[in-house]
Amino acid sequence: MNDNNYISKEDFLKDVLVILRETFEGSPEGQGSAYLDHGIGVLPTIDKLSAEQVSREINGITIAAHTEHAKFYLDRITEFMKGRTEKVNWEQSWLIETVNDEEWNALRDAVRKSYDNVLRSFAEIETWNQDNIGDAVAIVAHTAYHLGAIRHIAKGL
Amino acid sequence: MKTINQEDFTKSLAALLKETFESTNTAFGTMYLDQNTGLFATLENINAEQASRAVGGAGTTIAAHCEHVRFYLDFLNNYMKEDFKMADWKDSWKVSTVTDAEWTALCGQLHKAYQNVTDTFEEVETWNDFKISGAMGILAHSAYHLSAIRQILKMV
Repeated sequence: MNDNNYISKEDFLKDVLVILRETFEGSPEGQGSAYLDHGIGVLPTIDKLSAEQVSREINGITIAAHTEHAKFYLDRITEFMKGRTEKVNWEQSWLIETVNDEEWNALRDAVRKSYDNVLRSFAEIETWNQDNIGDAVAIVAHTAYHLGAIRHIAKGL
Repeated sequence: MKTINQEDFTKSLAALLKETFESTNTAFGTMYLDQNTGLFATLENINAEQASRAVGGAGTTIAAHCEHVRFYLDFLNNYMKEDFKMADWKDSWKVSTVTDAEWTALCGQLHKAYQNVTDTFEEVETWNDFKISGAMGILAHSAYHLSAIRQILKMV
């Protein structure tokens, strides 16, 4: 169904999920990509980096810090989508600067878990309105933004 | 519900795109960027010499990122208007350094490309699969390169 006032929920969800998957997992082999080169995404990018590399401060910030911040944002926005009304102290999203091997493994696992949680939350939404659409689109933009930073810093390591 | 109110999507999309390029914020603050860190506010204080400096491991300049973003915006704008042309993406990375005049021109072209995209979004009557995907690509791609530009800016 596509008249001038309504969008098919299936179209919206499919397109948001495709770009979210590209942002986190990279575009699938043999298929076109929407905006990233092949093999690039948050998860393959952080998988290739060691705790020592992500703890190196480049221009005042580390990849570990960006990763934790992106994960924190995912978790809070998912909570908002599920009805959270309490304000967030965003300064808490920047508390991590360096990590040891164990902490880096835990952070990478936590990012995967947060991403899975976002996918589950999207699937559970029955009614998409301006608030939860704004949250979903903001998750894509915010993650893309920090992926851009992480990949730029990684090139300078 | 199997449908979404089109306006709920277009308002969110417009707000996020505006934040990315124009640094605007709502009464509740920004949705994903710090205040005044959108693309145009970022470029405002960069001169041609800074935009042409290749720094860091990537060795890519701010001018190169700007031209690449402009190229992508123009391509996707045509796509959204159902004008399907092939692009050689290598052409999007042809600019590396700029003179003062070239930098002024490039920033102007970027503003124009953004304006064309927002005009196109407003003209869309029916947001179907490929138009939603095109718009989401524009937003994510612009956010990605804005971030890279802001990282380079710390070094030039």
